[in-house]
Amino acid sequence: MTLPVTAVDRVIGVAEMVVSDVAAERLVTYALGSCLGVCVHDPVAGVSGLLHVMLPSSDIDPQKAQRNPCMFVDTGVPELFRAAYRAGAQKERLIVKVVGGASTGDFQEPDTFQVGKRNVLTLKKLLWKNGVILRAEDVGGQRLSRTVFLQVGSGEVLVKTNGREATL
Amino acid sequence: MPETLAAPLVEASIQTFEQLAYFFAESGPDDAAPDAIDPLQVDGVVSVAFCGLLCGGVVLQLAGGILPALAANMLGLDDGASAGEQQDALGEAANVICGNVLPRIAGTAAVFTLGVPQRFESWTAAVDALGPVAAHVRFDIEGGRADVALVMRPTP
Amino acid sequence: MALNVLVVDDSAVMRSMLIRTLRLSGLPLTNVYQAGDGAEALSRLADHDVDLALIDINMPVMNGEQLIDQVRADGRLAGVALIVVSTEGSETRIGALKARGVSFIHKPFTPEQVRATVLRVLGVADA
Repeated sequence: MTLPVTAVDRVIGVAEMVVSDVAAERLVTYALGSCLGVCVHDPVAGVSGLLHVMLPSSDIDPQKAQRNPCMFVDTGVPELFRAAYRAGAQKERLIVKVVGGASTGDFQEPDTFQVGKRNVLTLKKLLWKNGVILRAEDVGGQRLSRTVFLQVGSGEVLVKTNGREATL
Repeated sequence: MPETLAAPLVEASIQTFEQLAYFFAESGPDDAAPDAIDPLQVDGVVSVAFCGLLCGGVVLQLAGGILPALAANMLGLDDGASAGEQQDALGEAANVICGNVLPRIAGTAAVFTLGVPQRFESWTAAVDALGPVAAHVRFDIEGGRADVALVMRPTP
Repeated sequence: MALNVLVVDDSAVMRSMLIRTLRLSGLPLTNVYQAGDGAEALSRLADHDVDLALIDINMPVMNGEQLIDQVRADGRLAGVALIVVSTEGSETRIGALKARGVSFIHKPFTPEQVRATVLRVLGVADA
């Protein structure tokens, strides 16, 4: 897999998601800090989806959540699953992986709001209550910037963290 | 309060709340004693005794209506955990905090025996039954409050 | 593959959490049995074929270590894979369990940790 943007890359911005069944496409989202990149893949239907979500709970601004559910974990993740189902994916087959949720603080400057940790906890609670177990995660850490590449056809997830690549 | 005991108690408690129940727990201000909370606000009090290199117990009190959420989150329900399940969940949370604080304060070579969770009517009753409080920490959780104490007795 | 599992823990909530995790892990579960202590577990093992037992340590009546002693001493139960699921933090005790071929999951666990350990113990490839 090559890292430079290719003709088949589809870039997902902050508070956006893409679901695709085009095997040659690669879904990419850049620079996840405390945000989460939630990846879903159904190997039978050949469907993959990637959500770049910012904040844990829509409680703080339900109107904004209505306009753009992908801003919040509790509204964005259900939206991602629904879109995957519409594209032919089935819940029992979905492989779910998550990347991001880093702390924005360090030992000199505390991360007062701990958005990254809240995002991860909200996601895991949502999945547990809806009967889904994560297949893999690369979350937490301090002041990390992670970029996610999800190959639609294979479901392979590549994470580039502060310049280093690893398959998730 | 000795910081050497409070810090591991905070770590073990936060780890337990996060992984067992998906609770985001923040260390709260020491602005009200756990036994000064309106009894009607208290969800439940439970202790787990331990003995080995050290003997004592962990006391856990939840208040402000978060016990139903603790049980529901553990079970993966939206709500509707029974009263029995809620007490069971509270006891298991105390058990897990206890099991995780001991190696942090006594090292991983030490061997302890833990008791089964015991319910109490109040924080005071639990502490009176177990012994002097060596460390007390409190947390704000989803609009409610959790108090955790480490009680230590002289080793027999 | 058809899998019969026994979950042994004095907390019914903990048993439910483990069973939910097993069911969500995509394992071919046939029967799931439960026991609240070691003595009940021995009774279930006598009555049913069990492939895998998840066992807590601190339990009333008969604790997990005593249960494992009994299971290991009974040749008819030699095929039962054992995983301890406990708050136990003593490397001394965990090491002694592992030396007897028992795997270990630390409480608090995540569903993902339980799934990964069970698949490894059963030798099932992660799809």
